[in-house]
Amino acid sequence: MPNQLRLSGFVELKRELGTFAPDARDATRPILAARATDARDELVAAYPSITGALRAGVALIPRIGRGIAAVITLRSGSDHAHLYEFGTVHAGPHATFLPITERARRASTDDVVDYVEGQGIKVSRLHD
Amino acid sequence: MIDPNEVDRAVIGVLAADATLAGLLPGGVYWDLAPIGTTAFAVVGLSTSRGLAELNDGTTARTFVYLVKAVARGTSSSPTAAADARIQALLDHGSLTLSAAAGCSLMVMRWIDRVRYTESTTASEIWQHRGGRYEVTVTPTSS
Repeated sequence: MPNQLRLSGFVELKRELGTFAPDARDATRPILAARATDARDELVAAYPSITGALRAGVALIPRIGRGIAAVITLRSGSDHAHLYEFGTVHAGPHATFLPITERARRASTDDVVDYVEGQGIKVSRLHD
Repeated sequence: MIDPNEVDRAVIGVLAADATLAGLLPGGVYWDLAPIGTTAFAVVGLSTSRGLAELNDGTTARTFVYLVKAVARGTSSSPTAAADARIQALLDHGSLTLSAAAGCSLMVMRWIDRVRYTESTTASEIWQHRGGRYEVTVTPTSS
């Protein structure tokens, strides 16, 4: 017998999601914005301030998501942000941006799950 | 109890023990920084780590994400490209020799994303950095 992977429930899921969008998107934007702002502040505080370029390069960029998607991008845009994160020949890597953004992403997901569950929909919290 | 330092040592160990990689990067394998004067080497560092809180209150597994890169002086990308490929062959879905002191066994080790850039330390000195981030998930051997 050939292996099969059968997924069902998409129609029901779309119908459920449709019941609270776009209100849901409007409600989750401030949730994401709060976590993103915290992450930005943590990143700025974690970066050294020698020339100020690393800190000055940190910015939050709100984006328009499709459908019910709400998206905020945290950017570290200085010319040497990658050298700080991944290291140079004479200075080791300083894991900063990646762990901070990973924690913020997971925390914001949990916050949104809390909100969605508050709307009466059961959500699995398994990450990754 | 999981000793993450032993997991670090195991990752460095699998790279340092490989003769092919040693031929490509004769300077050796180091944590974060290589000694001054070394011109072709591998660097391992910790990028992120996490417990999986969703499973049994976080005691079931831990994940460490390592930055592993080849670094070589020069404008040619060939040496680091070959070393990067060898590192990937060793680590992506590879095995680790974890000591009893590590308190854990390997669940999965996999490549997750790529790192590549060029560094200019002086006007005439160029370095190539090439590698990736690898996720190592371990589970306790006893609770």
